[in-house]
Amino acid sequence: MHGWCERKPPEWSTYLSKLVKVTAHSNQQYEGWVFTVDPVSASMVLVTLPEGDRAHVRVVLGHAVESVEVLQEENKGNTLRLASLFLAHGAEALSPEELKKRRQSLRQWIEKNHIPVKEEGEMLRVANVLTISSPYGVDDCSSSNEIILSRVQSLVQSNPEHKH
Amino acid sequence: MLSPQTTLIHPHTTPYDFYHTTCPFHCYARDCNQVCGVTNMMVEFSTACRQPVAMKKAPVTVLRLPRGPDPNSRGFDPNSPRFIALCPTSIPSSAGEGACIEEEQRSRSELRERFLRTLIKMSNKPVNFDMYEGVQVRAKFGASDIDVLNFQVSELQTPIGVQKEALLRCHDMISFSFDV
Repeated sequence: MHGWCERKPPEWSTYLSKLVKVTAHSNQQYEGWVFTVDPVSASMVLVTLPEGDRAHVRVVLGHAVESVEVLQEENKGNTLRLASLFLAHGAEALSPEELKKRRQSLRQWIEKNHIPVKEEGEMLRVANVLTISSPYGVDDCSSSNEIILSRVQSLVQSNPEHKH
Repeated sequence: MLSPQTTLIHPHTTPYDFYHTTCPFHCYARDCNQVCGVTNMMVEFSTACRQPVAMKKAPVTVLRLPRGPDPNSRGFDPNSPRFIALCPTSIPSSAGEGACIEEEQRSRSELRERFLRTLIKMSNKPVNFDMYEGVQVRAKFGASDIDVLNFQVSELQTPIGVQKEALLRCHDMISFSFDV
């Protein structure tokens, strides 16, 4: 398949959570569930789930991908398992009340430090340049400004009421 | 480097003066005080001398180095062949109407976030790299640059020995794998 790298994000998204067989350079073949396709390098992240808790992750660099074949459609159990492997750990263990409590506590801590913050549904928006999503830990902050990001992350980390 | 014993003792100084010299670039006498422009130390000049010895004879010739990289850039010359080959200036996107662009941007950010989480998960873990020509190396993953062009790794186990720190070019890799 020529032009895997030139494809658009919506096309890559159609492969998400599906079991695929990727043929890479010199006929090497890899199988796995697609966790994501990096939109910058077109690299595919494939996950195989052997028995037990372990997971094996293989990333095939976009420039080496020659063809992609879908073997099996997504199934709900695997999609959730993939998400829980990489995304913020412990999110599913918290009840809505606990999340709300964490949100409130973090919000008060940020306000105490004289930084403007407002709640937008489940999300906290800090000074209109940074968002913190649930479960409101250090790794849940996202911003396009890395200096602000690191400052706010250290602030979140120093919240006396947060215990990770 | 000048040795103070041989070259910096001015005829007007006594051994006592010499041992109280603070700045090694100047001769010493107790007549007047000045701050040396080179070392910012207090120096004293003899009235007869009035100028530091080091000024009379330049100890070393000054070498002018070429200008360093621009501190505000990301270290790449955008006109260099390497940059043009490896970093396309614009990420391919469909130039459609607003809703289409928005949808594309949303899926792009979701895909990218997942990829970044993968890299975070991978940091400080032993990773197997499959390179071209069947080369396989193992190393502890450290970091990646934003264009996914280079990986910083530690303890790279190569066929000829272990390299403590290394940069791997992503264009030399076919795939890499690790356990979670």
